[in-house]
Amino acid sequence: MHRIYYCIIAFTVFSIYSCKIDSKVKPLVTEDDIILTWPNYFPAPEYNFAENPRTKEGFLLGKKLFYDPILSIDNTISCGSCHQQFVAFAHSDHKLSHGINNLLGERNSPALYNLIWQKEFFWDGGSKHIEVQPIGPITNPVEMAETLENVISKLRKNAEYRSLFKAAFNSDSITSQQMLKAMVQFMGSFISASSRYDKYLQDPSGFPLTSDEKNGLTIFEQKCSNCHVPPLFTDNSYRNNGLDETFKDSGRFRITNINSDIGKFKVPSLRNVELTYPYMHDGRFETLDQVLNHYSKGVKASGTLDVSLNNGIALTPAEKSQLIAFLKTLTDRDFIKDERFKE
Amino acid sequence: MNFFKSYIALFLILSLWGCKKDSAIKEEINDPSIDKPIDVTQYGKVKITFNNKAGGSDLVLNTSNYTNANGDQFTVSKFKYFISNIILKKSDGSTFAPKECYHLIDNKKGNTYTLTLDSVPLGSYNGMDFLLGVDSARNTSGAQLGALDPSTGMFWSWNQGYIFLMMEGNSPNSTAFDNALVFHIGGFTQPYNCIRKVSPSFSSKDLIITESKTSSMQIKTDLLKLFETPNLIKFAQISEGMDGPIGVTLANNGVNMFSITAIEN
Repeated sequence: MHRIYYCIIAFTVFSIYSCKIDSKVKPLVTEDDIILTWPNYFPAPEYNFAENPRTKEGFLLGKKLFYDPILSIDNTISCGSCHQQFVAFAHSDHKLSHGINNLLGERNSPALYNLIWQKEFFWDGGSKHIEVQPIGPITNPVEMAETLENVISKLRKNAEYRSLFKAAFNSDSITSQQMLKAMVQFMGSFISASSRYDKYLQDPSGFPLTSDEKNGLTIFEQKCSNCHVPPLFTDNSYRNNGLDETFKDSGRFRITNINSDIGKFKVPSLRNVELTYPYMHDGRFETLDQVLNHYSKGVKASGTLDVSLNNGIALTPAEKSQLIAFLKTLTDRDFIKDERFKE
Repeated sequence: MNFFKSYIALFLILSLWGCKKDSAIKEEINDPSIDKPIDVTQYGKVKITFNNKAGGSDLVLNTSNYTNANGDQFTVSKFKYFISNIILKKSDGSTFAPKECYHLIDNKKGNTYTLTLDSVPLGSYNGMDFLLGVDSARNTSGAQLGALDPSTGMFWSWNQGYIFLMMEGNSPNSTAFDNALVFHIGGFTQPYNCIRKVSPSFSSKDLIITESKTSSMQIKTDLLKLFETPNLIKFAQISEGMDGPIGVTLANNGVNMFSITAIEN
């Protein structure tokens, strides 16, 4: 009998407490909105939020941090400056991106989606966990050029952040761990799985592909899917795709110091590839045509060239246009218009 | 009669088995009325102090001049390192490993650093291990707190993971800009894994943990050894190093920085 009383007391306390949290932030999303879903043909995510339970308060805090230039040394650059939703959180039309003081970065700003299926981040895989990934751009001298210590100090001095952190983590202190976990609650929610290709997979008769797109899919499966493995369209490996004979940027070698990794970069996902131009780690190609021309007749030999590209990839002009037609079915309009992620 | 005996035996077995099953079920629903096994182990404490030295002298940042084994003069502006995963060992082979054992020792905060191990089972210990650095699992476990908080500056943002040991300073022998010495040792993957297990010798006497008194142990961390054995470092040749081959060279020396200088029971 006592147990029932305890339960009632606990429930009452919890309810009052919940109300208190609710009154402090006006949620723009509901608990239902932050439920993550993905198609059954996706594998299990690498990051499952077990140690970082998602809440709407955490999501909203992460969103505010993502779009807030407070993360940069002179309060001018936010994550959203170089990761724009309308191009799947890549940097539209920028080969490289400008950081503070207009300093130019070294590598093309990657698109952000389906991050919880990634084990490693950056073009060279230098980040080995989604939670600490933001430390890279925040502290890079040509990006946000800030120290983590100073970011935390700025957040602690800010009354709005103090109340947002309190709402999200129910603690009076602000730690780098809380900041990073909140950012993952937001960025980890970027799931792109509603492209025409996905709709076709789930309901081929309701959402048919054109004959060009179907032919493109066949070509893709024969000539591209070895590295760009569906459904995520990457195998998360690092490869030298023949861009150069010698390497100004040694790529994966910077992380491993192993000679056989010189000139290798991460195989990027091709979802939303129509939007995420320019292409390659240095943004050297502006169009998908240029990319396919590279693979068909521009591959340069070097000691670490991927064996599958030794002879390039033979593609006729017709095959190229069918391939591009297929690649455009990977564009996810629902994702880039998703209200929950809007600034 | 035999039949009767068997019947009793069977009855007893069944009863015992029944009891066991019952208690298992009760444990599953976590009923506090079930007695947990009484822990008869008794515990004591030990204080372990790391003393940062350069040879025989206390390590002083910026103002003091030191000479390495190659005869190169140098000053030190930063000296910090991670000690983790301490294990105390008894002669019978049993060990004690405290949970969450991560310590960042930063000479800026003084040249001694004392940590206390609570709940050490009583007895006599004649060996210890610890890591110079942070185990590979914690390098890839996401955002951490405490000593492992990445905002302490001992976390690489570009090749993410902890800097296990950081030493910066100047030497007239260094050919780098401003005669700088910059050694940031880290990296936890082969072939350039820089995590090192240190097992300083207990040659003088055992560490005895009693209930009545907190024991203490003094460990000397001699920075000069970082440049001495097995790899003699000449600052004219090596004045900078991070991950990769130079990191490994220095990590192999780093193991030899540590020695137990006193134990008080």
